[in-house]
Amino acid sequence: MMGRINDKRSQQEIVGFALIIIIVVIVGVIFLGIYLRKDKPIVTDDAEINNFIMSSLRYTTDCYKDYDTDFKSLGDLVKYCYDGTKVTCMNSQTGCQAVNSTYSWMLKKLWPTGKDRPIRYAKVAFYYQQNLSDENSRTPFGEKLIIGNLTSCGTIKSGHDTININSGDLVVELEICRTS
Amino acid sequence: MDMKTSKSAQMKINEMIIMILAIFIFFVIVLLFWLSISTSGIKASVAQSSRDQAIMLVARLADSPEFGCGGIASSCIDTDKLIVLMNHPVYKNFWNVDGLIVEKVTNTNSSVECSIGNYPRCTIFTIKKPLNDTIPDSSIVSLCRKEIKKDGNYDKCEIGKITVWTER
Repeated sequence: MMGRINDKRSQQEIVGFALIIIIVVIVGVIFLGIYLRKDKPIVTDDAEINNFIMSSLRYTTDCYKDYDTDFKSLGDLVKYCYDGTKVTCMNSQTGCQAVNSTYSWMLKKLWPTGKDRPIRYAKVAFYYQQNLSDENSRTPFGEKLIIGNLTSCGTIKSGHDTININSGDLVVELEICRTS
Repeated sequence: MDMKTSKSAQMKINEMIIMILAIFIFFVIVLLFWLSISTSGIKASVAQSSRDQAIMLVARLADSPEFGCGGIASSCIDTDKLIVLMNHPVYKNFWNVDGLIVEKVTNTNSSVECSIGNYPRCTIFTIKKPLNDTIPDSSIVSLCRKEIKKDGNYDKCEIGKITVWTER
């Protein structure tokens, strides 16, 4: 009788022990899974990219509006691209096309992308934002410009600048995706 | 009966030792996991913050009255001032840096050293040639100048990079 009780107790203990081991293994696997899982990289604000956007908006393009020496800045062209104002450019581009082609060569020069390079892609996007403190009030406009291939990133550095217009702000945002 | 009890007690002790070891190893793994995540974050944020600081320092240099475009425009270099500074020996050591170069970023692959003779059709302004064993930090800036047209002047701004070399 006593032996049976002891056997049962030791069986219970073995089951308990096995349960604890299983729980520990499961928790360990969960932690390992979290550690190994490649989450979306965190987007960090970068001073160099902010400086680039600010400087690029001052860049004098070869597009003019009223007379042929009234060359407009890239910031002006972004405004015209938003409100549809017509401009005349040297290579018969529209304002929006001139914005994209200018950013395209700038990005290719400053952050060249490629298989053997640390930059995977550079992405410029344009938004109209009624209220700068409310990211949900963003409406994209113009054409999103992507240089390189949209693949997974190790890190994403971003920067933006705003152009004030009567009804709100225009936001120009650049994202640089790096391998590490 | 005594032997059975002592065997069962021994087994219990063994179980306890294994359990304590398992729990200990488990907590060590958790601690290592947490440490590796937290220190990698700290390392990354320290690297980012020192990079940002270096960029801000370079940008501040670009905003100095000797370089700046004037007005409220920040990160803007007046290249008309730059070409004069380049040829002034006093300014070689004015900023207490080990190298200072401003480079215009253009749509072409040409890079031409600037001089009074070829300005503004040039791309590289070498204020001070970088010394060996120094580290560069750079920032992107506007390079503006007065462009003369037959019916007046206008401000022409391009994009460039200011690079400062310092010892670490």
